Amino acid sequence: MADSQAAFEELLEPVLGPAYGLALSLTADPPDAEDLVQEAALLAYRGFHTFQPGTNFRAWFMRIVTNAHLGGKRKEKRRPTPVEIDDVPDHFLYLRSRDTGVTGVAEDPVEEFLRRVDVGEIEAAIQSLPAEFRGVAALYFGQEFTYPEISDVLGIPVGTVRSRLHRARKLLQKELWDLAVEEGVIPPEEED
Amino acid sequence: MAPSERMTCADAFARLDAYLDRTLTPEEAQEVEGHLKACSECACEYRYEERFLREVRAKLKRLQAPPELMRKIRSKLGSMDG
Repeated sequence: MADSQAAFEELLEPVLGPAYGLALSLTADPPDAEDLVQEAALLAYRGFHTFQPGTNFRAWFMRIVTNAHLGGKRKEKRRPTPVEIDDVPDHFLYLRSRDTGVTGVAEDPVEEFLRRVDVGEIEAAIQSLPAEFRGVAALYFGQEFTYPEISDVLGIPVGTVRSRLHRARKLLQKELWDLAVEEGVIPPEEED
Repeated sequence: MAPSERMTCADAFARLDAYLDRTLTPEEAQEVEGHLKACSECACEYRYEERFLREVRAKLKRLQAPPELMRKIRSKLGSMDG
Protein backbone atom coordinates (compact mmCIF):
# COMPACT_ATOMS: atom_id res chain seq x y z
CA MET A 1 0.00 0.00 0.00
CA ALA A 2 2.91 2.33 0.80
CA ASP A 3 4.28 1.76 -2.72
CA SER A 4 0.91 2.55 -4.18
CA GLN A 5 0.65 5.74 -2.14
CA ALA A 6 4.11 6.82 -3.23
CA ALA A 7 3.25 6.15 -6.88
CA PHE A 8 0.00 8.08 -6.52
CA GLU A 9 1.67 11.05 -4.84
CA GLU A 10 4.34 11.17 -7.50
CA LEU A 11 1.66 11.61 -10.15
CA LEU A 12 -0.48 13.92 -8.05
CA GLU A 13 2.08 16.47 -6.97
CA PRO A 14 2.81 17.99 -10.41
CA VAL A 15 -0.91 18.42 -11.16
CA LEU A 16 -1.85 19.88 -7.80
CA GLY A 17 -1.41 23.51 -8.92
CA PRO A 18 -3.54 23.07 -12.05
CA ALA A 19 -6.13 21.08 -10.05
CA TYR A 20 -6.32 23.85 -7.48
CA GLY A 21 -6.77 26.37 -10.30
CA LEU A 22 -9.65 24.34 -11.71
CA ALA A 23 -11.19 23.94 -8.25
CA LEU A 24 -10.89 27.67 -7.64
CA SER A 25 -12.64 28.43 -10.91
CA LEU A 26 -15.42 25.99 -10.05
CA THR A 27 -15.96 27.02 -6.43
CA ALA A 28 -14.88 30.69 -6.47
CA ASP A 29 -13.66 30.27 -2.91
CA PRO A 30 -10.10 29.36 -1.83
CA PRO A 31 -11.02 27.21 1.22
CA ASP A 32 -13.71 25.39 -0.80
CA ALA A 33 -11.19 24.86 -3.59
CA GLU A 34 -8.75 23.30 -1.14
CA ASP A 35 -11.47 21.03 0.25
CA LEU A 36 -12.50 20.02 -3.23
CA VAL A 37 -8.95 19.07 -4.25
CA GLN A 38 -8.47 17.10 -1.04
CA GLU A 39 -11.74 15.26 -1.56
CA ALA A 40 -10.82 14.54 -5.18
CA ALA A 41 -7.39 13.28 -4.12
CA LEU A 42 -8.94 10.81 -1.68
CA LEU A 43 -11.44 9.64 -4.28
CA ALA A 44 -8.68 9.30 -6.86
CA TYR A 45 -6.53 7.31 -4.48
CA ARG A 46 -9.42 4.95 -3.73
CA GLY A 47 -9.89 4.42 -7.44
CA PHE A 48 -6.20 4.45 -8.30
CA HIS A 49 -6.31 0.76 -9.23
CA THR A 50 -8.57 1.74 -12.17
CA PHE A 51 -6.05 4.26 -13.52
CA GLN A 52 -4.10 2.84 -16.43
CA PRO A 53 -0.38 3.64 -16.11
CA GLY A 54 0.92 5.57 -19.09
CA THR A 55 -2.41 7.30 -19.77
CA ASN A 56 -3.14 10.93 -18.98
CA PHE A 57 -3.20 11.23 -15.18
CA ARG A 58 -3.87 14.96 -15.31
CA ALA A 59 -7.04 14.52 -17.39
CA TRP A 60 -8.10 11.60 -15.18
CA PHE A 61 -7.65 13.64 -12.01
CA MET A 62 -9.35 16.75 -13.45
CA ARG A 63 -12.37 14.61 -14.27
CA ILE A 64 -12.48 13.48 -10.64
CA VAL A 65 -12.22 17.09 -9.43
CA THR A 66 -15.07 18.08 -11.75
CA ASN A 67 -17.26 15.15 -10.73
CA ALA A 68 -16.58 15.74 -7.05
CA HIS A 69 -17.66 19.33 -7.54
CA LEU A 70 -20.83 18.36 -9.38
CA GLY A 71 -21.66 15.66 -6.86
CA GLY A 72 -20.78 17.75 -3.83
CA LYS A 73 -23.15 19.76 -1.73
CA ARG A 74 -21.07 22.91 -1.75
CA LYS A 75 -23.08 26.06 -1.82
CA GLU A 76 -22.46 28.26 -4.80
CA LYS A 77 -20.88 31.51 -3.78
CA ARG A 78 -22.91 34.44 -4.96
CA ARG A 79 -21.61 35.80 -8.19
CA PRO A 80 -22.40 39.06 -9.90
CA THR A 81 -25.23 38.76 -12.38
CA PRO A 82 -23.58 38.06 -15.71
CA VAL A 83 -24.25 40.24 -18.70
CA GLU A 84 -26.51 38.95 -21.44
CA ILE A 85 -24.31 36.92 -23.74
CA ASP A 86 -26.16 38.00 -26.87
CA ASP A 87 -25.25 41.61 -26.08
CA VAL A 88 -21.54 40.82 -26.35
CA PRO A 89 -20.10 40.72 -29.88
CA ASP A 90 -17.53 38.15 -31.00
CA HIS A 91 -13.90 39.21 -30.55
CA PHE A 92 -15.09 41.81 -28.08
CA LEU A 93 -11.69 42.96 -26.86
CA TYR A 94 -10.26 43.47 -30.30
CA LEU A 95 -13.27 45.45 -31.52
CA ARG A 96 -13.37 47.61 -28.40
CA SER A 97 -9.63 48.20 -28.50
CA ARG A 98 -9.83 49.17 -32.13
CA ASP A 99 -12.94 51.32 -31.82
CA THR A 100 -11.65 53.22 -28.81
CA GLY A 101 -8.25 53.76 -30.34
CA VAL A 102 -6.31 51.61 -27.86
CA THR A 103 -4.74 49.62 -30.67
CA GLY A 104 -3.39 52.82 -32.14
CA VAL A 105 -1.90 54.05 -28.88
CA ALA A 106 0.10 51.13 -27.56
CA GLU A 107 2.62 49.30 -29.67
CA ASP A 108 1.35 46.03 -28.30
CA PRO A 109 -2.21 46.63 -27.06
CA VAL A 110 -2.75 43.13 -25.64
CA GLU A 111 0.43 43.28 -23.65
CA GLU A 112 -0.47 46.74 -22.44
CA PHE A 113 -3.93 45.54 -21.53
CA LEU A 114 -2.85 42.37 -19.75
CA ARG A 115 0.22 43.85 -18.13
CA ARG A 116 -1.98 45.49 -15.49
CA VAL A 117 -4.34 42.54 -15.09
CA ASP A 118 -3.02 39.94 -12.68
CA VAL A 119 -3.77 36.24 -12.34
CA GLY A 120 -6.26 36.85 -9.52
CA GLU A 121 -8.29 39.15 -11.73
CA ILE A 122 -8.33 36.66 -14.59
CA GLU A 123 -9.39 33.95 -12.14
CA ALA A 124 -12.12 36.25 -10.81
CA ALA A 125 -13.34 36.88 -14.36
CA ILE A 126 -13.58 33.11 -14.97
CA GLN A 127 -15.34 32.63 -11.66
CA SER A 128 -17.91 35.25 -12.62
CA LEU A 129 -18.99 33.23 -15.66
CA PRO A 130 -22.26 31.28 -15.45
CA ALA A 131 -21.70 27.74 -14.12
CA GLU A 132 -22.09 25.99 -17.48
CA PHE A 133 -19.26 28.04 -18.99
CA ARG A 134 -16.93 28.06 -16.02
CA GLY A 135 -15.64 24.49 -16.27
CA VAL A 136 -15.06 24.78 -20.00
CA ALA A 137 -13.22 28.09 -19.60
CA ALA A 138 -11.11 26.81 -16.70
CA LEU A 139 -10.05 23.71 -18.62
CA TYR A 140 -9.38 25.61 -21.84
CA PHE A 141 -7.57 28.65 -20.49
CA GLY A 142 -6.13 27.23 -17.30
CA GLN A 143 -5.29 23.68 -18.35
CA GLU A 144 -4.82 24.18 -22.09
CA PHE A 145 -6.99 21.13 -22.72
CA THR A 146 -8.15 20.40 -26.26
CA TYR A 147 -11.87 20.24 -27.12
CA PRO A 148 -11.90 16.40 -27.00
CA GLU A 149 -10.12 16.44 -23.62
CA ILE A 150 -12.63 18.95 -22.22
CA SER A 151 -15.44 16.85 -23.65
CA ASP A 152 -14.01 13.79 -21.91
CA VAL A 153 -13.49 15.52 -18.56
CA LEU A 154 -16.91 17.19 -18.44
CA GLY A 155 -18.82 14.38 -20.15
CA ILE A 156 -20.37 16.67 -22.77
CA PRO A 157 -20.20 16.47 -26.59
CA VAL A 158 -17.38 18.28 -28.41
CA GLY A 159 -19.98 20.49 -30.14
CA THR A 160 -21.23 21.63 -26.74
CA VAL A 161 -17.65 22.36 -25.68
CA ARG A 162 -17.23 24.49 -28.79
CA SER A 163 -20.42 26.50 -28.30
CA ARG A 164 -19.88 27.00 -24.57
CA LEU A 165 -16.31 28.05 -25.15
CA HIS A 166 -17.37 30.51 -27.82
CA ARG A 167 -19.69 32.19 -25.32
CA ALA A 168 -17.25 31.90 -22.43
CA ARG A 169 -14.57 33.64 -24.48
CA LYS A 170 -16.86 36.57 -25.25
CA LEU A 171 -17.95 36.93 -21.64
CA LEU A 172 -14.41 36.68 -20.34
CA GLN A 173 -13.24 39.39 -22.70
CA LYS A 174 -16.15 41.60 -21.63
CA GLU A 175 -15.37 41.04 -17.94
CA LEU A 176 -11.70 41.86 -18.45
CA TRP A 177 -12.49 44.94 -20.48
CA ASP A 178 -14.84 46.23 -17.78
CA LEU A 179 -12.15 45.53 -15.22
CA ALA A 180 -9.56 47.44 -17.26
CA VAL A 181 -11.93 50.42 -17.55
CA GLU A 182 -12.72 50.22 -13.82
CA GLU A 183 -9.02 50.29 -12.97
CA GLY A 184 -8.23 53.07 -15.40
CA VAL A 185 -6.05 50.94 -17.70
CA ILE A 186 -8.39 51.96 -20.49
CA PRO A 187 -10.32 55.25 -20.51
CA PRO A 188 -14.11 54.92 -20.32
CA GLU A 189 -16.00 55.40 -23.53
CA GLU A 190 -17.42 58.86 -24.05
CA GLU A 191 -21.19 59.18 -24.18
CA ASP A 192 -22.49 60.73 -27.39
CA MET B 1 -10.51 45.60 -46.09
CA ALA B 2 -8.61 43.73 -48.70
CA PRO B 3 -10.79 40.95 -50.07
CA SER B 4 -9.39 37.47 -50.31
CA GLU B 5 -10.15 35.48 -53.44
CA ARG B 6 -11.99 32.75 -51.61
CA MET B 7 -13.09 34.05 -48.26
CA THR B 8 -14.68 37.26 -47.06
CA CYS B 9 -13.70 39.09 -43.88
CA ALA B 10 -17.00 38.02 -42.29
CA ASP B 11 -16.23 34.37 -43.12
CA ALA B 12 -12.75 34.67 -41.68
CA PHE B 13 -14.05 36.52 -38.62
CA ALA B 14 -16.49 33.69 -37.91
CA ARG B 15 -13.72 31.11 -38.11
CA LEU B 16 -10.95 32.85 -36.20
CA ASP B 17 -11.55 31.07 -32.89
CA ALA B 18 -11.63 27.68 -34.59
CA TYR B 19 -8.51 28.57 -36.55
CA LEU B 20 -6.80 29.63 -33.35
CA ASP B 21 -7.74 26.34 -31.70
CA ARG B 22 -6.74 24.32 -34.78
CA THR B 23 -10.15 22.72 -35.03
CA LEU B 24 -10.78 23.55 -38.70
CA THR B 25 -10.36 21.03 -41.47
CA PRO B 26 -7.05 21.41 -43.33
CA GLU B 27 -8.94 22.95 -46.28
CA GLU B 28 -10.75 25.49 -44.11
CA ALA B 29 -7.55 26.33 -42.24
CA GLN B 30 -5.82 26.92 -45.55
CA GLU B 31 -8.58 29.28 -46.66
CA VAL B 32 -8.38 31.28 -43.43
CA GLU B 33 -4.62 31.38 -43.71
CA GLY B 34 -4.90 32.66 -47.26
CA HIS B 35 -7.30 35.36 -46.13
CA LEU B 36 -5.03 36.42 -43.27
CA LYS B 37 -2.16 36.79 -45.68
CA ALA B 38 -4.24 39.00 -47.96
CA CYS B 39 -6.11 41.07 -45.35
CA SER B 40 -4.05 43.12 -42.93
CA GLU B 41 -6.99 44.03 -40.71
CA CYS B 42 -8.08 40.41 -40.17
CA ALA B 43 -4.42 39.46 -39.65
CA CYS B 44 -4.17 42.18 -36.99
CA GLU B 45 -7.27 40.84 -35.29
CA TYR B 46 -5.95 37.28 -35.39
CA ARG B 47 -2.68 38.35 -33.79
CA TYR B 48 -4.63 40.16 -31.10
CA GLU B 49 -6.75 37.09 -30.26
CA GLU B 50 -3.75 34.79 -30.38
CA ARG B 51 -1.80 37.06 -28.07
CA PHE B 52 -4.74 37.38 -25.68
CA LEU B 53 -5.04 33.60 -25.39
CA ARG B 54 -1.31 33.15 -24.87
CA GLU B 55 -1.09 35.85 -22.21
CA VAL B 56 -4.14 34.66 -20.27
CA ARG B 57 -2.80 31.11 -20.25
CA ALA B 58 0.65 32.25 -19.17
CA LYS B 59 -0.83 34.21 -16.28
CA LEU B 60 -3.03 31.34 -15.14
CA LYS B 61 -0.03 29.02 -15.13
CA ARG B 62 1.42 31.07 -12.29
CA LEU B 63 -1.40 30.00 -10.01
CA GLN B 64 -0.01 27.78 -7.26
CA ALA B 65 -1.76 25.45 -4.85
CA PRO B 66 -1.43 26.53 -1.20
CA PRO B 67 1.90 25.16 0.10
CA GLU B 68 0.20 23.08 2.81
CA LEU B 69 -2.20 21.32 0.47
CA MET B 70 0.07 18.44 -0.56
CA ARG B 71 1.07 17.86 3.04
CA LYS B 72 -2.59 17.69 4.12
CA ILE B 73 -3.40 15.25 1.33
CA ARG B 74 -0.38 13.10 2.15
CA SER B 75 -1.44 12.94 5.76
CA LYS B 76 -5.02 11.93 4.86
CA LEU B 77 -3.79 9.26 2.46
CA GLY B 78 -1.56 7.90 5.20
CA SER B 79 -4.45 7.64 7.62
CA MET B 80 -6.56 5.83 4.99
CA ASP B 81 -3.95 3.10 4.83
CA GLY B 82 -3.94 2.60 8.54
